[in-house]
Amino acid sequence: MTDHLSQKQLLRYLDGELSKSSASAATEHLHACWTCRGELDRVKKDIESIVDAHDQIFAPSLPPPPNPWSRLEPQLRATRRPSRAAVALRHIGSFMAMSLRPSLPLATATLVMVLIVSLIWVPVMPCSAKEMLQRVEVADAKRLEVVPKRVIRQRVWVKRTGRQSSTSETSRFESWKSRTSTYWAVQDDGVISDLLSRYKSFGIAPTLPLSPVAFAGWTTAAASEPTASRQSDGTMEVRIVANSGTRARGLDKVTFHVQPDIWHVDELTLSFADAAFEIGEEALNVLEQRDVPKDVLAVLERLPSPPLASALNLTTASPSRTLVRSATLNLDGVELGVRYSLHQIGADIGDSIDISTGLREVQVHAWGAPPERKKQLLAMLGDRPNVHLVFHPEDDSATPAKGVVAIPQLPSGSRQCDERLRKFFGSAEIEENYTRTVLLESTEILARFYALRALAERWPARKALPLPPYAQVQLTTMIQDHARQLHSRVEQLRAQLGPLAQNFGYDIGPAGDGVVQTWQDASISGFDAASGIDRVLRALLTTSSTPACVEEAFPRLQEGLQQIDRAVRALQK
Amino acid sequence: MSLGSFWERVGSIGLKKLGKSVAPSDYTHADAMAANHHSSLSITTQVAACFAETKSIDERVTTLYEVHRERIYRFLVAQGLDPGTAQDAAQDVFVDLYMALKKRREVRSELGWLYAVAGRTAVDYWRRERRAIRVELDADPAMAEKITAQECNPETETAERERLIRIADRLRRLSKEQRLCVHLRMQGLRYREIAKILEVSTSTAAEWISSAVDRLRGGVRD
Repeated sequence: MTDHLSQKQLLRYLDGELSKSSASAATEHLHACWTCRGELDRVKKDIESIVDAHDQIFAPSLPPPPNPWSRLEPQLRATRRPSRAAVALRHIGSFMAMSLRPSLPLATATLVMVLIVSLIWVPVMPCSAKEMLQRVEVADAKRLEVVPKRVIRQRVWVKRTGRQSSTSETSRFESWKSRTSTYWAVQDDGVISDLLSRYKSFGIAPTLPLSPVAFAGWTTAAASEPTASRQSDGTMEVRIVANSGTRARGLDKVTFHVQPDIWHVDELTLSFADAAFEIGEEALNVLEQRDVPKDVLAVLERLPSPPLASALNLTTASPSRTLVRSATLNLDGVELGVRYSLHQIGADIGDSIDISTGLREVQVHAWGAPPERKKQLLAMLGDRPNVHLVFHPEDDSATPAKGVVAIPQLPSGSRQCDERLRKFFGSAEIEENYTRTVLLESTEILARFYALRALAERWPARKALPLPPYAQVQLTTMIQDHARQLHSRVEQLRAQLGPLAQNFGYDIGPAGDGVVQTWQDASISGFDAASGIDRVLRALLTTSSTPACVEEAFPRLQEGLQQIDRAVRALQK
Repeated sequence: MSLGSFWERVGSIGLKKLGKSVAPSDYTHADAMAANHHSSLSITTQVAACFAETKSIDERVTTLYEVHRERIYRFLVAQGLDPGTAQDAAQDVFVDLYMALKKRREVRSELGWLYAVAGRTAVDYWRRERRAIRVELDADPAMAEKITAQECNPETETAERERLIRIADRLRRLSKEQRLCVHLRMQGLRYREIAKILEVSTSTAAEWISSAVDRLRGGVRD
């Protein structure tokens, strides 16, 4: 005799849910076993009682509908609201009805031909690119919603293609998402680490690589109107060409590949100045917590975990500040991104803003900045991960904000020690205007070299950890922006000082090529030279505790300007 | 029928015949099958058929709505939706059936379809709501009071009635997944259909049903 049937088996037998072979075996057993037959009858009766309890007791105890029932017909009619094509057809139909009434067959034939031609040659777009992105967001949000005690695992492939070399590398990795945190299992992979750092540098909130949050983040980063086009296989491509500001940050274009039947993005392409990343979803699974690897679960649940090589855990600590926990946290990319953002608004020269890097975040000490600047910083950096803005000195636990070189006010009633200068200018007013112009140029040159020196000190030539490629692009862009402006300012300063120098028999022409320098050395030597020039000019042209005469000043000015020339040339290379 | 509406119909049929749709999400395999079928008929006949079909679907769904709206509403409340939300959702369930019939989707049982959609609505509602899901009972009726009080007066109630009250209380206190499984099973949905609604495996759904029945049978035995 076979074993007795369990209650589960009896229930499934009654429900017709056993497989054919199991059902057959169960039937055979029930024929022979009184115990199981009796139990089967009891299960049957109990189920009847459950149904009775539901119908007679439970259902009547539920509250009635709070409002009168409205008619369904209006809602059904609303579903029959015509599409744009149908509206167009109605207009065509009305027109043809009015103008071609006598010739109905001809009108019919004509319209059918028009339809055929337009539908074959003019693909019908389901909706605008923006609407498409909105539908994707809704559909994928539902797909990726995490319920309690479940974890989502997204497995993606990533192909990075360099712009210069056109070589490509492909990697795969898994990302995990619980209700509170997201984790990319990077595992020492250069391609994935590079991609992750770009997500972070553009302020994409911690999320799965292909998710509505990521899509919205890249759409915002591109900051431009999307366009859509239908592909030959019926899928849709939504493209966003980045605006100039974003292109300056290294991102050229974002492309979504959409399956329009389910509004799902199965591939995302991020085109940067130095490389393109194609990201595709291989698999998406919703797992019970018990099925998640223990080390992954520990990371997600913030428990002590075994060391994971180059693993990065992205955890949303609060809506306003997002922290990144990592065994090998590198904030260089974040800091450079902050400095680049300041550079774009000109806040890296002349503003009282200082930047420091802690263990977990980059701090922007801006309590000395004017209110408008603070507003700009808040808009630009307020939501950026791992960035903390310090607007009040009492909030500043680190060293107080060091002022950057500020554009000084010209002291009134400037008086130089050498009366020959007064004779050259002819009037106090002309002399003051000249002094103001020259000192503004000098201060601007000094401020830019100050910013460059800060970058050079932060990223010396032999730094332990290399910068991510996109960060390198940002750094190079800043250096070259400064170099370009310095070249222009130095030429203007030279043009201002030239006549004065010639008058006293001095030549302050440009220097020849000097020793090859790194940009770091050029920044430091240029700053030294600019500081010297600024001191000399003030000593020569303004009231100074250490005034300088023409014979003392111009040789030093000549030497300083030539040193700056060499530094600027090195920076421009 | 106006001439403009006639052309609209022709155009819509033409679109389907060419395999094009202005709303790709609405175009299904069933539509393709229907388009192929229609291609063998004249346009005029197809237009007339469209009109007749639409009218009968409207009537069918409206009738179902009149007959079953309370049951769908109570089903949704039993899954923890508040009464206002449940009433709106109940109407949407019938609209969903209407859309399915219009698109010629395979609907073996209209009532089964209604409960399946209602079940999915409940699951979506649970996902959106962060609070714990409780079944709301009517404050007034004596039956609701008895269920929550878990007391029965043997002088006023028969033993059978007492038993049913205990079972009803256990039904109310099942987990939301178990309760939904039991309700859907009561409406004739198979285990795999229930599993699909809850987006779990068939074995998980079967486990939930078995556990629920086990707990409810405890009320039977008390």
